[in-house]
Amino acid sequence: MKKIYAGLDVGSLSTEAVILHGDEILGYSIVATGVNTLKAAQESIEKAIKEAGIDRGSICLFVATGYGRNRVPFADKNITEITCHAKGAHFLFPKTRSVIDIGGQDSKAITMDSSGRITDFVMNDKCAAGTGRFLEVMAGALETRLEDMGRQALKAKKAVAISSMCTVFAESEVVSLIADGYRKGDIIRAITEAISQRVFQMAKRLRIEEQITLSGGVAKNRGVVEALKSCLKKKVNVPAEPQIIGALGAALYARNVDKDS
Amino acid sequence: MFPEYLIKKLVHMPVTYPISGLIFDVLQRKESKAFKQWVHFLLKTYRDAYHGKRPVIWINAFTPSELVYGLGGIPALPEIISALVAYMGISGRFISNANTYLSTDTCSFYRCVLGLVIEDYLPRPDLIISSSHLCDGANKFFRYLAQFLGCPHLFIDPPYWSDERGKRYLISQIKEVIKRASSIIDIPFSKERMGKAIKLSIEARAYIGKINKLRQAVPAPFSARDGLSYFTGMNIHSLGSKEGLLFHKTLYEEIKQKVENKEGYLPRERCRLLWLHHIRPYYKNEIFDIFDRKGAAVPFDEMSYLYWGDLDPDRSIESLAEKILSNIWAGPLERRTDAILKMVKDYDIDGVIHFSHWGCRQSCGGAGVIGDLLKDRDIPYIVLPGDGGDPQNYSPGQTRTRLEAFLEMLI
Amino acid sequence: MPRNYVKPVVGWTCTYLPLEILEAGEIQPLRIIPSPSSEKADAYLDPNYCPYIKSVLGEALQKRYSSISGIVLINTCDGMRRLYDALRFYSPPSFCYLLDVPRVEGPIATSYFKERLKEFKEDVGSHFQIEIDSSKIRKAIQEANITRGLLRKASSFMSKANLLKLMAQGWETPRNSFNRKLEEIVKNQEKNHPPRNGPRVLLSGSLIEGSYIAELVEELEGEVIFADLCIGDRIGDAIPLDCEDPLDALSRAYLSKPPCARMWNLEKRIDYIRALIKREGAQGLIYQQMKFCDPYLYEAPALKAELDNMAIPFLPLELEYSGKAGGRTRTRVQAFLEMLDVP
Repeated sequence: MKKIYAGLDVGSLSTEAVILHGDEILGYSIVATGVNTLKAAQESIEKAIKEAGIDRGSICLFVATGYGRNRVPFADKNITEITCHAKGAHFLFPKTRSVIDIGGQDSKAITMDSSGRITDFVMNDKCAAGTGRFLEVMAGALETRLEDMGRQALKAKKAVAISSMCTVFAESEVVSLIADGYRKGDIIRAITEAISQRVFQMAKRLRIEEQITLSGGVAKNRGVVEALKSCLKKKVNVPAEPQIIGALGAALYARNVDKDS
Repeated sequence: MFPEYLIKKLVHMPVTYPISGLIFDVLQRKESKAFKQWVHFLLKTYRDAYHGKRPVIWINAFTPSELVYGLGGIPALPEIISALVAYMGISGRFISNANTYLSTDTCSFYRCVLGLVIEDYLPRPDLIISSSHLCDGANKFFRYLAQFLGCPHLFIDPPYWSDERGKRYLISQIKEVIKRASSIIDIPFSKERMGKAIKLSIEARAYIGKINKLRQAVPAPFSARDGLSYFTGMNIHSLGSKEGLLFHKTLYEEIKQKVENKEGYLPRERCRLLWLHHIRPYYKNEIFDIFDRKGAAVPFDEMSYLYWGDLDPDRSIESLAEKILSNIWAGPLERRTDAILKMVKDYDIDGVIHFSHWGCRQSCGGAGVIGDLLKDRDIPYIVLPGDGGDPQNYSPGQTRTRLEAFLEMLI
Repeated sequence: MPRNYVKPVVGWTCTYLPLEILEAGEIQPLRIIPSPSSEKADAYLDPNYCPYIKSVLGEALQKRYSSISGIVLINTCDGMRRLYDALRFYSPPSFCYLLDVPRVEGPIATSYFKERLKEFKEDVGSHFQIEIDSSKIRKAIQEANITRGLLRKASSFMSKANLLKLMAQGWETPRNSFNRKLEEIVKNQEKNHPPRNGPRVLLSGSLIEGSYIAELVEELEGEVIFADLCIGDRIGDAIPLDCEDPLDALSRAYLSKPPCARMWNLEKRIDYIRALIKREGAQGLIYQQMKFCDPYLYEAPALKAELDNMAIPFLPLELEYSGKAGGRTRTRVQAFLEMLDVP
């Protein structure tokens, strides 16, 4: 009989949980982390369990990953989100050799071999430009909903450029562009290009090979996905639910570890 | 716009340069003959470099160009090319590419050079000679380039102290470098050729002295904007060549004329500033426009300072050592601060700006002490953080605010 | 900060200073390892500056060095040159010396360095009113050789983190009592650390306070097999005393010891690291890059290219000077070890 495993990705902004049974995802959840990581972890796992329709006791092994991975007392093991994103992406797209993860507050690029084992990685977790935060700040400046940014970027007509490297300065630039009468859609396109450029520059430090899988909340932004595709000039996969890749990887790791023991 | 591969091909074709020269002569608007000479000097130097007629020797700034001319080579300065590339507005891409290799905490000029080298835009060197006395970057970076390009590299390690012991150490090294360089480029060392280069440098130096004196005039006849572009360009690249001598003579005559006519480069001079650091931002920026608009003349820049004494064509190696050892940015900071205080006095300066170029530890580390020395003498001072080569690192709003606030203090 | 020493205490920052000369002059050398106090020095130097240098200046400004008799600096790098200037301007120690160390090896440099060492010996002697003669220097070298030998032995059985902590003690302890302590440790094989099965990592890079990266690796079940750091295993061999003038021995030995990135010879650095990797069987290299540390920043691309050729994974860690591994560092080191841990 196949066992059930749980993976938990406790990020600084959101916490995800995935319940895995064999090769099937029985249930998953995404909750806001807030200030109490333990509470968020509990909430997240309970929600996923509920969706999976199982008993908590039937979970064989819990593995935690993410920024708060050390603070989950019920986790049996913890491993980094780098290993987890690679595993999760590889599970969904076995031909994937690179992952680019753009989260709310950080972004990373990972390369792996054909068995999903990581070979190199690079992280940006200190600069907001190149993360979801950048889009959030700009959405605020433009008084647009974050969810609408992707769609609007694709409809843009005129090319405008944002030259600042830094989120704070870029926001000033956006405000100036609005004042100078540029269309919202065109500015959004520029913002999308700016974030994609930043992510691309980070990823270029590795030998990025096809197929590339995007993960993280920002992968839901179609504008960013398209812009990255044209930077990378390679085949790009976008999972149906890009935010749970880390938690999925953790659950897969739990499965592997249990087999070994 | 031209496709990339075509541009690269054109850059490598010697014929591009005389043709560009002709186009430049037709289109250019600037009156200065000296400026034109600079452009032609660059075009000729790079035409010759791509032609491979004479050995191309890359040097870093402050390695004396007289050494290269004396060896019979053509000096090429990748750092100057970085500045030109920034001026043309295309440095961003090269710097981005280099960021994959070098940390973004390093100097953008070096990163731009690396980006250009990676894409094979520069004339291949037969030899690279670098000297470490200015900065750590020069120490390792040129060695790395030499490795990357598969070409020989010779290194001069000037001593910290410029006393007799230090001088002897430096002279031994220069002799060794000359010996090995001559063998590498397969041109036997000629005392006459070296002596001739030194002689041309001495004559040019005399004009530099005169130019610097003329720049003291009120109203200021020559802006640091130009001082930090083509004057610096020729200062570190052309000394030891005939063109270098001619340029300085021409510039001297132009400025002399202006001073005789009491012609300032600004219609109305409301204050006088001194610019500190070896460079200014070369990509499109507002800094000197703000100065011009507000009537803030910048009669002098630290980089133009004539720091070395008279050389001697009969003691050419010793002269090269003396030139290196007189460098005010090497050794203890007193050399630099004494010179700055002298400049403040000689050029009748009302306010001093220290441009703190990102990644430049050797210069920026002195900004605190310099500021306190000036404040002790009631001389207004501001540190302007920025980046000379990377337009992505330029914040127009912040820069404008700082400069305008500073000028409001003075005017 | 220094305990009550009988002899005068002179602070130092760079391992290219032959401490033997100070010890021959009955001076207690004290390695300056400031507590992180970078921000105070921002206005005096530049905010984008080596945090170690800023911390040294920060402490000097707070008069923490008023109890020591002097500081000897070396023109290790641009930052150090400016530290020498800033110290003299803002908080001059009673004896503030800059020793000029060449960046190259070879007979010309060695001969020049010897002249400077002689000058240094004379200047120290005249300032502290003590005669420093050849026999005293010889004796000091012999004592220092004992330390080198014992540390090597300790390195063979202690965990790296513990070794680094032990070495740190040596920087503020008089040489002979430190040697006695080392003898005890080696005799009793104290803190013997059985070899582990975790990923074998070479640590290399610039000066970071403390052993916290080595500790982190060990906590995460990795093994630091060598610490190519100036606070670590970059000790060098025993200095041979086969020449007339011990200053010749010092000059040659110090210029040719396992190199710091401030030395010119890039190939020598890379050869040295390549040899270390092979000799120690390292599976990966963790490169401690202290923020704004130019010699290591400029060396990194060549080193990375070489490691790519050797198929050895390379983890550059951009670090502050201070001794704590934050979440970001922890994640990277853990991910790197996960990467190396191929069953």
